[in-house]
Amino acid sequence: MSEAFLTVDRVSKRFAPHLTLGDRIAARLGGAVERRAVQAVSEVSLTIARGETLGLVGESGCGKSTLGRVIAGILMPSQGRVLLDGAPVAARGRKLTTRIQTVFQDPFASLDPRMRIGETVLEGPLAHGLVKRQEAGRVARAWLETVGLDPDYVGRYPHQFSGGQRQRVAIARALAMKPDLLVCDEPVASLDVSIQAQIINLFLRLRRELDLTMLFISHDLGIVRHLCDRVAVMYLGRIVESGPTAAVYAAPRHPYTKALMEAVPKLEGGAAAFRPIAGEIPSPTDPPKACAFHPRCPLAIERCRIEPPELRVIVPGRRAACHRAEEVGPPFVGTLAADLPLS
Amino acid sequence: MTAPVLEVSNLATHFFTKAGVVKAVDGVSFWLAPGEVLGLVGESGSGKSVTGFSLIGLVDPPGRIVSGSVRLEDRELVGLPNDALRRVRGRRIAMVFQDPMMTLNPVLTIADQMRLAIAAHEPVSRSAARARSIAALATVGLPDPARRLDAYPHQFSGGMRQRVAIAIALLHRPAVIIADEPTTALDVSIQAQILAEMRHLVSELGTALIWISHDLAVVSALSHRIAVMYAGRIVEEGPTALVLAAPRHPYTRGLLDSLPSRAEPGRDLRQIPGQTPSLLSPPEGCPFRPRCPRASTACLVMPEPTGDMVRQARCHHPLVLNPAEAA
Repeated sequence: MSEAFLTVDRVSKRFAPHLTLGDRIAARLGGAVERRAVQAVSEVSLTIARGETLGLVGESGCGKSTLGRVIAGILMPSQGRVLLDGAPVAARGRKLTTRIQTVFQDPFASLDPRMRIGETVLEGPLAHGLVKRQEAGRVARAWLETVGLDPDYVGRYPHQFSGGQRQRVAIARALAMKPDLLVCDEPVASLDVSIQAQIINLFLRLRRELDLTMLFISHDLGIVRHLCDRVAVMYLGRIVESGPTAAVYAAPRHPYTKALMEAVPKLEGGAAAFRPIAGEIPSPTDPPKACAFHPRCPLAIERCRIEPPELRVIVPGRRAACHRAEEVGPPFVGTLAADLPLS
Repeated sequence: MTAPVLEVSNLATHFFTKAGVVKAVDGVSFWLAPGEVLGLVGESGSGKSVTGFSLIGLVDPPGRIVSGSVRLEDRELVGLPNDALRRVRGRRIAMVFQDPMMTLNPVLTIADQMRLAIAAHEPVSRSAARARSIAALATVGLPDPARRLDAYPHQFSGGMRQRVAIAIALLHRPAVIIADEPTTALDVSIQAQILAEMRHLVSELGTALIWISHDLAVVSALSHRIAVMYAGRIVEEGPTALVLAAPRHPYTRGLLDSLPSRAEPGRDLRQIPGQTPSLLSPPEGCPFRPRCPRASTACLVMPEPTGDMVRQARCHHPLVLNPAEAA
C-alpha cells in the first residue's frame, strides 16, 4: 500500500449535553443532572492514500457523518488527531487548512439562496486570495464548465436550478478551493435515480481529470462499490471492517457487513434476494457492551459479550473487528457480490 | 382470472396553480386483483404519489380529480361525497405514508389512536379495542406490544413508528393498502424487516397492495407487477420480472441502465440525458421525447398504450422483445 496521505489517528468524538450554570451548580452540590453523552465516534483510525477514494458506509447513527466532519476540520475531535500530509487539519478549535473541502447531502440547504452561483463558487477562493479579482469571472465560468454546467449561468440564483444542478454548483464551490481531499457526505442521496447516475459519472470524471483524493460517505452499498477503491464499514461509532472494495463485497469478514449486504434488495433476485437483519440499531447513548453488534449477530458467542473485539488485520490490507472473522461466510446470494471476480 | 378489487381508468388529477395547470396525473389506468402487489415506480414529479392520494380521495385544492374513475369493490369512489368516502377510507382502503408521523398523533398514546381508528368505523369497547390493537401490533413484528401500547409515538424509533402506522392500516382488514415510499426514510436493515413482513402479511390476508417507490430494487423484491410512471402517465406496465429483464419503454431501460448495481465498478454509468420535464409546460407529444435515444417525428404525437393483456407500453418505438421471450 502506498503511504498515507490522510491519517486519522484514534479519533473519538463525544457530544455531551450542554450544562447550564444552574445544572453545574446543582451537580457541584450533588444534585442529579442529566449528562448522558453520545459517543458518536470511538477510537477510529484510518488512512487514505493520495488519489484514492475511500467509501465510508453505515446506517443512520453509526457516526459516519460525524467522522466526516471531524476529518474535514468542521468538528473538533474529543480525542485523537487528523493529519493531512503530516500536518494537523485543525488545532485549538480552528480548522487550519483549506486543502480539505466538503460536499454536503442537501443542495437545497448548502447553497446561499441570495448569492448568485458565480459568487458562491468564488467566495472561498477570493477570501483566501487563491484567485485575483480581475480573473474572478473567468475562473467562475471555468469551474461551472468543469462540473457540466453552462458557464453563462454564473449570474443565476440557486432557485433557478434543479437538485442535480445545485449539487453540481456545490461540487464546483468545493473544487474551486483546489482541495487535495474532497469529503462527500451522501452527495447523491437526495437525487433521483437518473440524476444520481449523472452526478456519479461527474465524480468519476473529476477523479480521473483532477487526481482527487476522496472520502465518500454513503448508506448506499451499490454506489460505494461503483465509486470507491476501498471501503470502511461503521457500526455504532466504530469501524467494524475495512479493505479493498471488491474483496470486501465478495467475501465480507464482519457479520454486520455481510448482514448489511444481504439486507439490500437486489434487482435480479426477485423476492428471495434479501434477508433482514434481526433487531433494531441500538441507541448510541447506551450501546451494548463489548462487541456492539452482539445482540443482533448470528455468530455471537459468550466472548463477544465480554471482550470488545479489536479491529485486526485478517489478511494484508483487510481488517475486521470480530472474534470470529475467519468464520464469516460469503453472502448467501445476491448479484452484488456474486458477479464480482473473487480477488 | 379473479375479479379486480380495484379498477382505475383514465384517472386525471390536475393542480390549478397561479402559474398554470399542472397535470400531475393525466390518464392513469390499472387494476389490481385481491392479494396482488403492484409496484408504482417513478422519479420525483412523475405523479406516483398524487396517484396514490387520488385513489383515497385526499387531494387538496388547488388540486382536484378532473376525470376518470376509481372503482373499489364495484363502488365508484370518484365524486363520492366526503362522509361516504370517509366510511370507505380506513375500512376498505387505507394508506401508509413515507413519514409515519403523518398518521400518528404525537399527543395520543398508541392505544388511544388505535382505539379511535377502530371506533371510527364500528362501536367497540375499550378492552376489545385493546385486544385487537395488541394483535395488530404483534402481526407487524412490534416486540412486547401489550406494554408498548401505552407509549407515545416519540418513544418509538422510526422503524417502529412505521410498523405502528402499518398496524393501524391493517386494523380493519382493508381490501387495498396504498403505501407511499414507506421504507424510504428507514435504514437498510429496518427496510428489509418491513419488506419481509409486508410480503408475508399481504399473502396471508389477501390484501392488495400498491407500493409506491422510486427504488426499483425494493419494488422488485415485493411486487408481482410493476407500473413505471413518467410525467403523469404510466409508460410501461407488466409482470415485475419481465419488465426488469426486458423493458419495452426506453425510459424504463434508461432507469435500469443508470443503476450502479448493473455496471462494472468504476466505469461510467449509462445516464439518461437531461432532466424530467416541467409539468407546467410539458414537451409536445411523448414527454420523454427530448431525452429519448429512439425519438422520431412520430413522437410529436402522444403514443397510446400498446401491448397485450400481460404487458403494455406507451411508446411509438418500443424496444424489441427479448429473443428468448419472442421464441
